[in-house]
Amino acid sequence: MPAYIARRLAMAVGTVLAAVVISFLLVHSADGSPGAVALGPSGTPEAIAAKNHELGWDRPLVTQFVDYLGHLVRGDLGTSLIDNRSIATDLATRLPVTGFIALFATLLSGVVGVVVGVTAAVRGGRFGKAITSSSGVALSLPAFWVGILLVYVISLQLGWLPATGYVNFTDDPVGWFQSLVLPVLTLAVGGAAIVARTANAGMRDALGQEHIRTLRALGTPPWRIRYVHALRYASVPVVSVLGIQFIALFGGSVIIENLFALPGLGQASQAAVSAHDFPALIGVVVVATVVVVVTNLLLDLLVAALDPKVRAA
Amino acid sequence: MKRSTTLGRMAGPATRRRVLVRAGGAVVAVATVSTLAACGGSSGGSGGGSSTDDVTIGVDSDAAANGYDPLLYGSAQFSFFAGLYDALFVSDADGKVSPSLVTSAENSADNTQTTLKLKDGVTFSDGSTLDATLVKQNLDRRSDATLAAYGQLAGSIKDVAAPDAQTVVITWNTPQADPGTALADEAGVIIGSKGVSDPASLKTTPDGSGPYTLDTGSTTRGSTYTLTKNDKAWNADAFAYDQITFRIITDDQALANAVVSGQVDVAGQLDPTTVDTVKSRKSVTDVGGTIFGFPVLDKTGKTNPAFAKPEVRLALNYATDRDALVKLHPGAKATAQLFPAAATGYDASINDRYAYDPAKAKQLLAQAGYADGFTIDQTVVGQPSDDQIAVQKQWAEVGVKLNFINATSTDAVFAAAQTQPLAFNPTGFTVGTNPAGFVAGVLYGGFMNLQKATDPAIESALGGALGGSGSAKDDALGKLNAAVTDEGWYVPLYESFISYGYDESKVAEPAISPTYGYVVLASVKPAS
Repeated sequence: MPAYIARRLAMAVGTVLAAVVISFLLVHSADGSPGAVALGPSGTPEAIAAKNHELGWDRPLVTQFVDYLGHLVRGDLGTSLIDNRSIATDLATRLPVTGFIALFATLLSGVVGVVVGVTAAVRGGRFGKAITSSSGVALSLPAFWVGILLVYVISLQLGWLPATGYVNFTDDPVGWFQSLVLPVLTLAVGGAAIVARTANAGMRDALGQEHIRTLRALGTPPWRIRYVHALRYASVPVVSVLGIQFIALFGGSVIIENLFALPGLGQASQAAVSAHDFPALIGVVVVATVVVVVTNLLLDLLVAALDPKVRAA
Repeated sequence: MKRSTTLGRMAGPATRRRVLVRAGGAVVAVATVSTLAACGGSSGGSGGGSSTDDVTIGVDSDAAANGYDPLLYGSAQFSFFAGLYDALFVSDADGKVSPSLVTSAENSADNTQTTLKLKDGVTFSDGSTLDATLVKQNLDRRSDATLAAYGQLAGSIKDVAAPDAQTVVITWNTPQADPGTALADEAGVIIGSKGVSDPASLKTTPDGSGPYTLDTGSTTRGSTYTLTKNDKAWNADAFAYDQITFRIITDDQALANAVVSGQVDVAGQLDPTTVDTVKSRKSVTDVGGTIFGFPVLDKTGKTNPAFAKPEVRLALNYATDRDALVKLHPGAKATAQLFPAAATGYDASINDRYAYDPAKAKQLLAQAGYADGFTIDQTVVGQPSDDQIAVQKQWAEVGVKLNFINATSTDAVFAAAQTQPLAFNPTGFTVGTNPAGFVAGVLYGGFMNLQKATDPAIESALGGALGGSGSAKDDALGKLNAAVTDEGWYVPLYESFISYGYDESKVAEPAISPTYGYVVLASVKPAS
């Protein structure tokens, strides 16, 4: 296991480094320069050149990259060209918004999906078919449409929850919970359907395995066979799907953040792109990559813990 | 109780577990629904009632996307910056301009010089105080092309002098009869000494003398800006709330949802498609004043001989199906006149007089010698707008071909104004509450009359509208409005409205600047 962890860690670091290099090169190959962005249309070529010099943009690319990397390992993502704010500080306030929504949506879709999928596999028959068809319907519903519908019913008609906005946990825990419910539900509907289908297929496969039949023959109680042995076998694909789900929800947060007016990473990336704020854009890419890589790492470790075959591979 | 005890004793472990799970689920469900229902959707908006503690205003674009230099922005952001900064003059809810940082303004006899006397005791957040040198320093930034707030003012001012600490003398390039309007709101904003000397500092720190200061701890750029009352400000009493939170909600539907479900107390500008949603649960206030249409640039026939004939210009009015056009623009109202519906001089009968009548249009064209129609060239950047395309089809029915020429820059469109008879602005022309001023400065005496055409009816009515008073002035305004349409100087399409939603149980109806369409911040007050 330690060798496996070491391999995965090395891969994770390599992935982050590759993402930093690619985003750094892409930004440097784009039209314009930070001096031109900072000074705006009124900047004379001389003033822009001076500003670029001040920002170090005219240094060799390798020198700039090494410098950036040096700051990055110290948690310094630089300052915004638009308003000089610390990018790390700004993203630190936004990360929890996107992170909590993606995390809770993943957890909720995991719980609901596993319960529904496993129940359908265990009970089978009409119930199983009903679950399969309804998960198909849930899967085909676009998240933004689900969000609009939830806002209309729960916020506008019933007045139970806020339609927009995010409240910090430290300011108001109840308000924080309320502000997360609708975005999380919006994302969890499709997610739960995917997990339900995966859990259902995994469970049915597990219940037909030889070791499960042996356990039955040995008189092991049915609940233990289903919810301990078979579920453990079925959980490997479910965990993989949940990990992918989290990454997809995290990356696809822009639409949901717009719909619910949430100050998350999606909003920050949109603003950085439209303002040509190069350092902020690289910052968002780096933070998002780190989150994805860490999630993948945890996922790999969890799968390895569940499935010895993975560790041996 | 007895029954459940019996059941508990009789049931096996599996049944007991199921009962427990279901009971637990029910408790969680009830608790969750109770929490949600009890707390409702009230988080976000102000506390409620008619408290002056705080108010939340939802706005549809980032109020400070490029930092806190107010001069970088146009009128759309002035609601926000009016909290942090003061201007030399400010316009009120009726569009009337009054002194703010000045106590008096006097023009020279030929209107080429304005002498301003400054208010005493105005302090900025950097500790500096208002004086003539500071005002001069501010206005001397006008040549910076990135300062959108200055707009036309940049080219209007020839020189700014500060003969003494309280006196500023502005020399104009051309006579300026109404200096207050030129120096009002965003164009007249004054920044403190530190900010004006080092504009880069304004990227992170505002430097104003306004009634509020920025609470950076409660501000998330691009999302939420929190302003806290500055009780030391000279005009603090004019603003009702101790705290104002501006929430940036760029999605049109989300902005409407926010005011409907109570996360914001005032929201705008509402997209026209969401106005009915807001009206169904909260209140909406709106202001018109933007008239979409085709100004007839050439009334002499220099660029297109057909336009020398008034019959041709009127034929275009009759050939325009305005009721069909407004279906493309929810909330807009068809109009056949230049004056907005709320302006003095507006006459509903003009709309009936110039109702869609293609037969009449053909008759007028034949009368003018264009029975077979003619072609009008119009330069557009990129693609023509939906309005232009719709009008092209309507005019084609009477034989008038509207021929679009694609340009790649707005400069090409401005250049085309010299050689083409009609203009069109896809965002409309703001006629506002002073349509006589619009006629004098734009339609008759400005860029919409490049051939310097004259018209006795318009000129006579304009004289009365600008120089008269009382009922004589009102009468002249009516005549002016009628003359502009009757002489075919403008082919109006529709009037658009700017709408704001508000929660009438918490705030009184906010006033909207009729000229610029932003909420007048001082007018945001608790419901009585």
